[in-house]
Amino acid sequence: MSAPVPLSAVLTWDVVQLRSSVGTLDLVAGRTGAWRLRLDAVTQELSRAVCWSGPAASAAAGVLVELSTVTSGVEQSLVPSVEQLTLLFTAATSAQELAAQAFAAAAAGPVTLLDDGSLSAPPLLPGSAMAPDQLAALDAMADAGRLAVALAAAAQEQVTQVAAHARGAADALTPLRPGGPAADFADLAGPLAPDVVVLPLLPPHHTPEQAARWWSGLTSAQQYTAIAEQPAVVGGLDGVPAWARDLANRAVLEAEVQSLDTTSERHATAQAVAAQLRAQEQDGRLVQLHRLDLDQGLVGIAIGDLDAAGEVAVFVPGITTTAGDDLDGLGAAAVRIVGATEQAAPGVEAAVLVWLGYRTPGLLTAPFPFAAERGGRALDRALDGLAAARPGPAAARTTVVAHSYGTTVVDHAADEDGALAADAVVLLGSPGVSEWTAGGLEVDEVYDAASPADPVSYVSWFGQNTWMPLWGSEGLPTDITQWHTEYLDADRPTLEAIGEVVAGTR
Amino acid sequence: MSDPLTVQLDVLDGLAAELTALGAELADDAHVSTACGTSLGWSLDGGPGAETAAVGHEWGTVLGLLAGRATEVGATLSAAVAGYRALDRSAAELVAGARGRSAVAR
Repeated sequence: MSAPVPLSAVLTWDVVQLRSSVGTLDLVAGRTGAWRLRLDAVTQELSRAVCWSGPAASAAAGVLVELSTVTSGVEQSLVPSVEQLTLLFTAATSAQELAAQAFAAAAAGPVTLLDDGSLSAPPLLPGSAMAPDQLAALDAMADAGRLAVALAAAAQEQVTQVAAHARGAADALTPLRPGGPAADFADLAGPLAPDVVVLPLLPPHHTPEQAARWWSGLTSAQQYTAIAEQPAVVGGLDGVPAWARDLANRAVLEAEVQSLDTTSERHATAQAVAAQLRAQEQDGRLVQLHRLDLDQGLVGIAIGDLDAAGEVAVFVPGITTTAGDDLDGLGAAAVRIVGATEQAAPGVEAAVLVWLGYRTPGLLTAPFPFAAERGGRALDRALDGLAAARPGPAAARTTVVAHSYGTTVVDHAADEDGALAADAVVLLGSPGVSEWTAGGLEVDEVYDAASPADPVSYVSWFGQNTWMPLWGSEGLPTDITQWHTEYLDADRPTLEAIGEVVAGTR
Repeated sequence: MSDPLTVQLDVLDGLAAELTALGAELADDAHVSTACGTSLGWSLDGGPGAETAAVGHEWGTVLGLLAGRATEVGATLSAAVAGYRALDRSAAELVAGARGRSAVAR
């Protein structure tokens, strides 16, 4: 038990300086969190095989993951510690104000208030010979004495709170020194970065938002453990940042590429994906493998950084498109959209995700909506995942660019619960959608490109013609000779307009 | 199958520099925290000043350890980059020396 604090000492506390120090420590705690995120960015860059690979690279990544994990543990102590200091400041301010009021009340009596909150002498008792004014003065002194004692008691209660919060601020740091104060980094890392990493469970039937919260609550060591131990799960988890999905999916891809079963369709898909990644990276582009389900043939490849780009486009292709046959063309189209976007708004950072997250129908099944219904659910969730991975001010402008049957997929995605997590939709050569107006797609901006030479734009297989003026889309330019598959060609005017939409300058 | 070994020296050098910078920034915050601890002690003189001062000083110590580790790793990566470059130069000299040929730009 510490010695009681004299009330006169409370009067000398420098609460202005106290506020400044606590405020500074609060800023330091916040900066430590930001510091860890920057450290994680270095680790992610280091973990890219194109930057550095081999045993030394793995060791360096491991060291940085440990440092990040220890930093997470430190943050978890600093934050409650500074919360206690903030409460301490409030109590100290209150204690000083009450102590000052107690001494002021005593002085008005006048009575003498001692440091322990008691009066120096008991109040004088009224005498029978006292005049009325003397009796009144005695009453006033007694009132002043009672008030001073009450205020002093309240001040001492606050002083008790100050001491409790000081202990709380120190206790919050206890996890950092289980065996005594840390003398070096190894001492600190021992309790905060154990060798055995335990993963908290992801809620069953999770939404992308829940997955994003789960992921952001993991330490760096837990995140990399999840990627290493369950790459297929992490790689397909909507709501997880793109860098992590990329690492996880590349691990799955590498395992398949190394597989001895070289005749399967999944192996052929893996080879095609690996070739596309290699080709883009050899051209100096940053590429992310955002989705990879080799059994279903589902692939998502982003040109650019989905975690950092200010402008993101999700390209949804149409019928007969497969990862095994079409990644070269899709990748080239994505590169052209990135180029058109950066041309529309020089200085922006754009990323285009080629989303083959549904099994596209063949020619015979194209008139039916079944693939679009499945694809719509997947696209809706994928868009929710992209948004959840970058909440608040980190959010990108997101444009869905859909071609042909892909527009039907978007139509069904908009039918799912919740608004479509996009800012704009571009429909290219649409065979019709079920929405009566563009507003049914649930985004602020809906654009449409339909060439007179494109018969698919007129078939109305799935509902309204999206180029009809009454439907409510804004038309994008086309050439009169532009065929169904030429909307993203570099020598056609539609591409430039799409770039403007993705950039948000149109 | 042999393990692939790749390294982009300039990128790695940049990451090493970033780590060194991160270490320096956190070291500044460690000093600031220690100073805040001292200030907390003065501010509550006669009360729990010593205890709050210890809290600030412990913040400084812990952050200093993190900063030191970041700086140490940054220096190690810088040394690794220098080592890779030196090794490559030595290998180039060795190979060229064996046949007496000059290097071809690639």
